[in-house]
Amino acid sequence: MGILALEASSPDAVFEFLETGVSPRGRAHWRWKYQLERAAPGRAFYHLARDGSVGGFIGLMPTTLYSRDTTARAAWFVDWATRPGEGGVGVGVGLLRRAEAATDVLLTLQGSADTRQILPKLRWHAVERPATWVLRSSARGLVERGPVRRHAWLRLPAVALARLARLATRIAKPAPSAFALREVERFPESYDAVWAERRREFAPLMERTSAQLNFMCADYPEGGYQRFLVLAADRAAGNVAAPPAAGNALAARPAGDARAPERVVGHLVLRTDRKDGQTRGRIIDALWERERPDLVEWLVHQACWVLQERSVDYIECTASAPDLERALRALRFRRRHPVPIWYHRLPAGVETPDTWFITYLDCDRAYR
Amino acid sequence: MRTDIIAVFSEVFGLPVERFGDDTAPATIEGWNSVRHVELVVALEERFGCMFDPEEVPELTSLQRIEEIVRRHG
Repeated sequence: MGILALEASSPDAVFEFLETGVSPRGRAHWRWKYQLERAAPGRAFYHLARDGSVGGFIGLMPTTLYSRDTTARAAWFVDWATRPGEGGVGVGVGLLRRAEAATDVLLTLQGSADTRQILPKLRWHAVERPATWVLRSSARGLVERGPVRRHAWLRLPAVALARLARLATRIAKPAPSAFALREVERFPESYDAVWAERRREFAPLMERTSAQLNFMCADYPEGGYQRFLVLAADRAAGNVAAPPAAGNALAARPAGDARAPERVVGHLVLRTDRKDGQTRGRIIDALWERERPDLVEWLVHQACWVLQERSVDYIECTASAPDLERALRALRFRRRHPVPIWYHRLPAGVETPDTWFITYLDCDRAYR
Repeated sequence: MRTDIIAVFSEVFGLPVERFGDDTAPATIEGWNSVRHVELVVALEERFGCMFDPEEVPELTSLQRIEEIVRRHG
């Protein structure tokens, strides 16, 4: 009785509570999200009442926060629900306190109406630095918005106008450059050498090791992700200033192309899914050589081109970094809404979250 | 101590102190929901200078139980 850690052997009542009280995602989703096959303690907790009923649940996705000067155990709490009625009173706060004790930095993004009401009372803080940016990339993406949804008679003229507008705004195929993408099934362990370089440039940010990227973007049971390594040409191509880093085992020049980009300098993750009858494309995450504005501009352009080729109706990207925001703006993305980060306490030396590099990797609703 | 706890209840729920007694519970106090419970927990911690354990928070649903738990914290 009381607050217990979720395990593969937890009572069926807990998984039934997850399906009915949190989200009907199926056992495979909970096994993946809370790593139940790997005996990874401290990822999720539930409250079991004396009568065997489940009073509430809280689930965490642990990660590591790389600050400029230090690292800290961090976790996003992604599922938080209590049984409606008197039986759930107080359970939510108890579970939240249990989650706080399991990590150094407990965070959540956006939050439900209840969450936004409760957290300030518990002296949590919110920053609104990250924001979601949107680019409409099809006629349907342009017209299926508020007024046209409400007034069917607007639809035909709106579609005609949107088709014309789309011709003018269609993303052109990126010109050949010193950069390239290589699609991969999984990120190789050797990518961790690149991550070690990038994290110094991007800190503060959450872990993006090959293991973490694969867990979130390759092993996700419902799929939908595309993973890429970002390659840059060496000096011979005239664009890249830095030599290959020691230990960058991913460097490989495609046979027969002396000028092909060969050095792995970052990664890109994209995702497509269906939402409200439209195909949504998302730039989930990217890292690149930070001192190269031409690279981030190329990367965003290339990502949009790939998604446009997959016939998405619109493209979204969550961004908090000025260089990424500039690249999005250059492609006519519009800043739509902030994505508040809620946090409770921060260890000494850790910068506040309004300075962190945040993307959909941190806040994709797929994980919730 | 009981008087102090009742004073906290009165402040959090905006009801006269006479309204709270042995039968005080979420079922007998209108508006005792999850959000109000958070306010009650925080107010009790401030009043008694303690921090309830995660396991104790869901138990804070009657005067008698609150009194027991607060005493445990000294």
